[in-house]
Amino acid sequence: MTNIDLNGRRILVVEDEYFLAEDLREELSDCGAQVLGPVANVKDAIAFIRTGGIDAAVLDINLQGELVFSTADELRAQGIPFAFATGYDRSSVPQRFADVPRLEKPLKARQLAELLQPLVLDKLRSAS
Amino acid sequence: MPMALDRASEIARLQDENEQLRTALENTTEENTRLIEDRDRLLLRLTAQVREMTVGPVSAAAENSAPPESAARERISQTEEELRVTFEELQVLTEELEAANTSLHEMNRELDRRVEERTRDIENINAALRASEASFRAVTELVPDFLWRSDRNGQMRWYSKRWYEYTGQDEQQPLGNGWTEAIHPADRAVSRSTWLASVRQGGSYQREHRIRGSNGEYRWFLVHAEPVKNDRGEPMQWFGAITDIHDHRIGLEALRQSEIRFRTLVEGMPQLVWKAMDGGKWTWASPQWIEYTGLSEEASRMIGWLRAYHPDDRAHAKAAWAKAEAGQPLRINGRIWHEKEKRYRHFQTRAAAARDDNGHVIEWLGTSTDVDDIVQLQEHQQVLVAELQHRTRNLMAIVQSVMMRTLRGSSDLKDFRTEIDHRLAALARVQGLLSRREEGQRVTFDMLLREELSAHVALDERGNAPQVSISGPDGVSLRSGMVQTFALALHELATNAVKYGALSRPSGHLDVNWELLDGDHPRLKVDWLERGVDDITANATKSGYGRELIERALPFQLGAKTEYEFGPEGVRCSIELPVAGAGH
Repeated sequence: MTNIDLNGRRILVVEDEYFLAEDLREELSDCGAQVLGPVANVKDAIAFIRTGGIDAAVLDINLQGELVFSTADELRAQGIPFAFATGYDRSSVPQRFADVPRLEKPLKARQLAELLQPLVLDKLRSAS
Repeated sequence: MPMALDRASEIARLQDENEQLRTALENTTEENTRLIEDRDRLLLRLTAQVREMTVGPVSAAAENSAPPESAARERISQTEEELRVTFEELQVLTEELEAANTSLHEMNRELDRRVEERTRDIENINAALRASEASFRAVTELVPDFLWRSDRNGQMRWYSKRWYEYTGQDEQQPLGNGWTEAIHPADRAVSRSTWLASVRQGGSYQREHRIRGSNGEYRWFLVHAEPVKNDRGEPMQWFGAITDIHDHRIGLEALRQSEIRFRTLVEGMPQLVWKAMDGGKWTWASPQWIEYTGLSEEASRMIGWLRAYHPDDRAHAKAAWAKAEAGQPLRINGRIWHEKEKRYRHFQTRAAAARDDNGHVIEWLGTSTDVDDIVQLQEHQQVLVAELQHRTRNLMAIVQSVMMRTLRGSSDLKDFRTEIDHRLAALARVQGLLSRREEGQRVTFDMLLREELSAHVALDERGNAPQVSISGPDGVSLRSGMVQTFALALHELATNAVKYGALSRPSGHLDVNWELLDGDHPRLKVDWLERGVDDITANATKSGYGRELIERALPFQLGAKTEYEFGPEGVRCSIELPVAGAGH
């Protein structure tokens, strides 16, 4: 069905809405990814990141009223690529994340996979 | 004027002197008459003596034929002696009379000469006076003021021509007290009384009042009068001048009015108003500024006002002034300290420059408007819009997800249609509850439960129905983020009960009991108990979506602990999840 292959890359899903998190998990798995989480809040997300072994992440911006940007900072500090999945418009994303890819909800997991693939590959290349 | 006065007193003095001379002349004439009477009396006596002397001896001779010669001779000599004395007296008298006459003549001549002289003087003076009077009148017509003169009692005696030209009064009209008729009725009584008071006190008089012109219109005049005093310092008369100050006064009045209007406007408006010279050097601050910032006017002058600005906004304020000097209107958006609230509030400051004909700035007039509420509202609105965006897009994603799940769980399209219809209706109800929350109402658990149950069964006011009993505290508040998922879970429980469980048959009954478990983190514990259902397992497979919601979504999303089981009499479900607390 797809020529996108995330090739077993470990992708953290941060999304507080259960159904959406589940859909993402399912579809990313279909694209060959190994999904970590999903997690529904910043605290769990940061704990996951610090455990290590993450190749990329997809972040919902608003987690039960809590903004995800501290998680984004943590990812950036560790050089892990990520994308935002959000219902917010651009103005609500801080300037420092202006270059971060954003997908607007409702999300198509396939779009996300397409977006993540080069990020993941870049990371692999720079790591090797 | 003093010259004319000197002449007048000189004339009076000369007239006095004339009068004295006349009296002296009359006295001399009387003396003359007396002397003449004396002389006549002496002459009469002399005549009588002479006759006696002539007739006496004859009659004596007739009586006495032989009068003694010696007696006669004695008598004659006696008479002769008397005659001689009388004659001598007469001579003396005559000499005196002549002397008196001569002196009288001389006096008369002297008097005539002096009267003539004085008369000439008076004529000269009168001529001079006429000449000076003429030039005085000429002067009075030259000056634009109206001039007047009053007597020592304040009764008007003379007005210059211009008074008559302006008022249209006839020559006699203003004299005495008639001038007051030309004064504005509102000013008249005071003008009259102050004038009479000045006359009594003998000091100078000054007054502004309106005088009616011949066209019937009033103009403002300044009246100024000074008394002319005699040697003893008593006012003899008054001279006054009336000056037209109408345009000046109207101008001043207009200025005052506009100043009052300006102050009223400035002090009544909510804006903080100030005046400045170029470069933002304040010269004046409105009372509102002082009250608002707690900075005195003194302290605000020059660039003292800058201290009321938030430290982060001061550079911007200075830069705005630099730009304004280049000819642009001044615009500063910055925070200003509010002394009462002890915090900075957002202000919009605008100023325009008043310039002279050469384009040089005379002064800047500026206002600072409190826009804090607007800024706050805008920020709040931005948050709301972002929140709405988030929620809408999230909701669309949820709808999509629910739809896919329903599709997967449906045996055919008819099944799907019924199922999706109910689930979307449940979502719609939650949106209704959430929008009510935005009107200031918190969503509580009892509210959510009643809303969900009443979509399936008819409930009474307390939330009960023949087959439904609910029991628990009212007012347990739910966080807005948990309402939607919780509602979907309750919907699944209710809809399954209606389709397969306690509410699908007359023998069934549903109890919903809940309690608030207090502690550091309050938790809500809900027990959903169905009774009277013995064939529940037959339909267990149908409830995949509902079970997923309860057993996985609630723990994941809301940090809930849940149990879901098929007991011997039906579904037993318990949900324990953190909540905000009771009430709010």
